Amino acid sequence: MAHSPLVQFEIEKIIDINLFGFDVSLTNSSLFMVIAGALAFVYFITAFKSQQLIPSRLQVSAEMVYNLILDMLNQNVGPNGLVFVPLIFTLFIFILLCNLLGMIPYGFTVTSHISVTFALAMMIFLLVTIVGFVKHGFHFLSLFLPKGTPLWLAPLMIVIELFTYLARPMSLSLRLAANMVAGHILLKVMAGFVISLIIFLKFLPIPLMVILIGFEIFVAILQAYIFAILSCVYLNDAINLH
Amino acid sequence: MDEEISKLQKRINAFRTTKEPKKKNSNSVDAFTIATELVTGVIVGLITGLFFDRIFSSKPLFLIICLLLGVIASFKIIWQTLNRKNNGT
Repeated sequence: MAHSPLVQFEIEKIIDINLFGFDVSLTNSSLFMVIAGALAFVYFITAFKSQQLIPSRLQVSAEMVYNLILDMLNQNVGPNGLVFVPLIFTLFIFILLCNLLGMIPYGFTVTSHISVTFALAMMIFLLVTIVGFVKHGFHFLSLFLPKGTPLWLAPLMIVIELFTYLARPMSLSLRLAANMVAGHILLKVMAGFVISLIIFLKFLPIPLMVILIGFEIFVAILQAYIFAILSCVYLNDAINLH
Repeated sequence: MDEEISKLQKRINAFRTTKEPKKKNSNSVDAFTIATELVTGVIVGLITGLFFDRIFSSKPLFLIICLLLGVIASFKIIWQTLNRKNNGT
């Protein structure tokens, strides 16, 4: 009576809503996105409600998160990248909460679907391209031709640079989704071993599960951080051309 | 007294935003990042090759060329990632 480890990623509709022929029903994926958003909203509103000069502990924790993003943008982009703090901050908090909500028992990992992560990565990619074109005009295309390449090598170089540029949203989305999917499948498979190998391994899978869950929580936080850092690096490429 | 406070505040702001940005290494010790970039370079080459083949209807030609370029591009990405890790500090 073994359940497949892939059952946990299936999308089930909770409330069926049909809007002009579009299926906008509330699924378990969108429910957990709403929970993530509501959690972030409640946390930051409560933390910054009474803005004290000597902050309370809740306010300090929220300020630490904000300073993390501020320093990330300062170091990677420079002072004129601070315009993007709300975007990177929202992105980081959303991905972090979605990843962590998947670690709760019976929680659904929103970011394990490529559709979700590809939408986020596409948003960053389009933002970077549009910001680059708005700021530098057509000089933005000089990103594709590094300095000092001989002229006969230029077409090949441009094509290869174009491919590396196009591979960015793909790698952003695939990294996050694959990490989440692989981690959760591993957890499910190891958890199945607890009962089915109880004769051979006695109780050994249980501490292994504890270690794996700890590692998964670490990976969830790290992957959100890597997504945000790489978005800042791509923004730096667009704003300060090399 | 207020002037001094506002002058001090201005100096603090200036120091805050213009301190030397020490670029932290972004892809710190993640092997998964390197593996992902290897795979996605090839996938991007594959998709571009299929796209051009559908336009010009020459089945294996563009696919092979773009696939090879995708492999080269993925190695380039990995090289850049490792270089940024080593001397981007």
